[in-house]
Amino acid sequence: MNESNHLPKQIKTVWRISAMINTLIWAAVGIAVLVAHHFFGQPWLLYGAWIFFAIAVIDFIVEMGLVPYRYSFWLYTLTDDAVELRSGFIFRKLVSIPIARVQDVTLSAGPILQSQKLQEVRITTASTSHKIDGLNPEVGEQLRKQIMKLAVEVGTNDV
Amino acid sequence: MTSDKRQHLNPLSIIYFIFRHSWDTIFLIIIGSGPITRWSTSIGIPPLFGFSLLILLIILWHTVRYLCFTFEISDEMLTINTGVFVKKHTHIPYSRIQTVQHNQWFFLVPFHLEKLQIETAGHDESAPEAVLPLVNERVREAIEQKRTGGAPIQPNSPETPTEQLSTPEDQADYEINPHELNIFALTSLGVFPIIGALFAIYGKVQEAIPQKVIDSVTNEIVHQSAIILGVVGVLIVILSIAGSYLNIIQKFYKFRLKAQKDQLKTEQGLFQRNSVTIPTARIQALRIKQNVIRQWCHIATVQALAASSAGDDEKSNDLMILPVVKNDQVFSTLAPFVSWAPKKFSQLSGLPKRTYWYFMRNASLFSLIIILPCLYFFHIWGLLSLPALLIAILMGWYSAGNTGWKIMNDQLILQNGHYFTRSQYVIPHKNVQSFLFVQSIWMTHSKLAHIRVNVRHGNRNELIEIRYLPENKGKEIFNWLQIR
Repeated sequence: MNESNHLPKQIKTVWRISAMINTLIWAAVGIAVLVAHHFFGQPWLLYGAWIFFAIAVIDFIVEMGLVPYRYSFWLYTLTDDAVELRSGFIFRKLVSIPIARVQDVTLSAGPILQSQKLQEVRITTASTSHKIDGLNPEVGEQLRKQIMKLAVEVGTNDV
Repeated sequence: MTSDKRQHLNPLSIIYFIFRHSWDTIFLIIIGSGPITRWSTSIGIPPLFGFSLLILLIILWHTVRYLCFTFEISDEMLTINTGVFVKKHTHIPYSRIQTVQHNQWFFLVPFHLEKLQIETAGHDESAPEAVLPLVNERVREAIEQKRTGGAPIQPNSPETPTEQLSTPEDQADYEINPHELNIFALTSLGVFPIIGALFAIYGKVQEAIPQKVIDSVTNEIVHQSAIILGVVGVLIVILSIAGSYLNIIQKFYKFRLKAQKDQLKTEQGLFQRNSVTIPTARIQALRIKQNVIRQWCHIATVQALAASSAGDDEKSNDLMILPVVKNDQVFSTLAPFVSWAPKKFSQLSGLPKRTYWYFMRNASLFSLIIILPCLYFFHIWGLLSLPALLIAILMGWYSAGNTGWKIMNDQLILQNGHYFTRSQYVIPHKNVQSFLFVQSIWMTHSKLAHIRVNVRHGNRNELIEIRYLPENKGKEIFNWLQIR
């Protein structure tokens, strides 16, 4: 497991669905403003509504367009004593979290992630928190086991 | 002190509660003024009586709060019970305590009363885990005794033995040198915000004066206005320097640092004596800080980064260890207190001159945020903002010139410069929570990288970054950090 891994393929679907939901939320706000315009007749409300619609469209295009980019440049590596997260192509970032410093790992899944059988993993140290957007439950479980094992070996890492 | 009994705060803390919530009280009285007046006149009693009733109610409320506020010093933990309707019990095991901080106003000295704040490393709230607003000094002594005393304090044995061995058993003691404190206060860059604030107030006051008055006065003084403006300006500068100077002096008046068994204790302040106790093993990193003027005066400040928000300043959480010390004495003074501190300033690796350009470029870009709007709004007069560009370039040069790093045994030393202030961090390997290697696509061509290191500080994260160091050096640090 020492080579870099992409996130599971299903995460693209998750990102796309969440992009759509975001767009729908912006659009819903826009519609609400339109309705307000209908009732109060303030002309500036109309401009507001159009701004929200524009945001909805731009947000949709950007998020959808970025999905392949995010997928191909977001890598994680699980070594024996560290979790490494690599992201970005233009602005490259490599984060290393020594497992010995990890205070807790939270696995969570909302309805979208559940539909794709994925889990969001949040790794917390004494000072920082790192998120992996989605992992197969087996990998999450492995991470959890590894951390438990190392925690027992190292003893509690005190701040 | 009998141990397993619930104790109350000092009754005077009712006054403290009322004082702390005085805004609520004033708000209540303002809100209530209408209804109370109407209600009291309607049932035929003087409104004053109604207000007295309200005040009585407020006092009663705080008295109930006082009665519900108890604490208990048992053998294993400190328990604090608060809340009138919603009962809250906070249990703090002594071994989890990070810092014990106590404040004592000078008028409370004869009564031996003080405010006690106890913090753990938990970071749920920004406030300390336990605040005992007004208690007798004996309470603190009892808690400290429980904390350091026979109780089994060290469950985390693997890493502590070495530290315990090397911690000096003899009690070292340091007191600030008044002469150095004087220089320290004079060289603070803190005057600049104060100058700004005073000028702003002056502007507001001028606006507030009715136009008529100004008009009548203007004719007389129009030819003297330059002189008056000059005098006001000089006065403002002098006042702010004096204010900042006195503030620093009173804050660090008779600063003392004591090393007691495995812990450090600082004490400072003129009107309000503030004292913080922290176990040496809890210090996450050291920061040696000096602004550019202090660099010229060869004095430095040493602070401890710890997982607790106790400190000299509520905002910065910086725990002062040595507020001011001569450059050449920093580590010799520090040695008896922090056993793992380096023995002397080490020669750091610096940036090659060609990378200075990036710092200057970035700083200049930032200065454009000020300059461009100035040019847009004031046209030719906007050119007056150009010195900002010069300052920015100097700042970039300063940051680049002060960037440095070194790996020493099991410690990483990082140094950076921001806003004409140089900070050197000494970070033990085991206290690095996570670390980053950051590069933009252009930096892969110029073979440069940023290194970021995350350390716990206060209730949050302290990100220590050194920028634009050569890629291979960055990798070196990164790989060193990866070693378990």
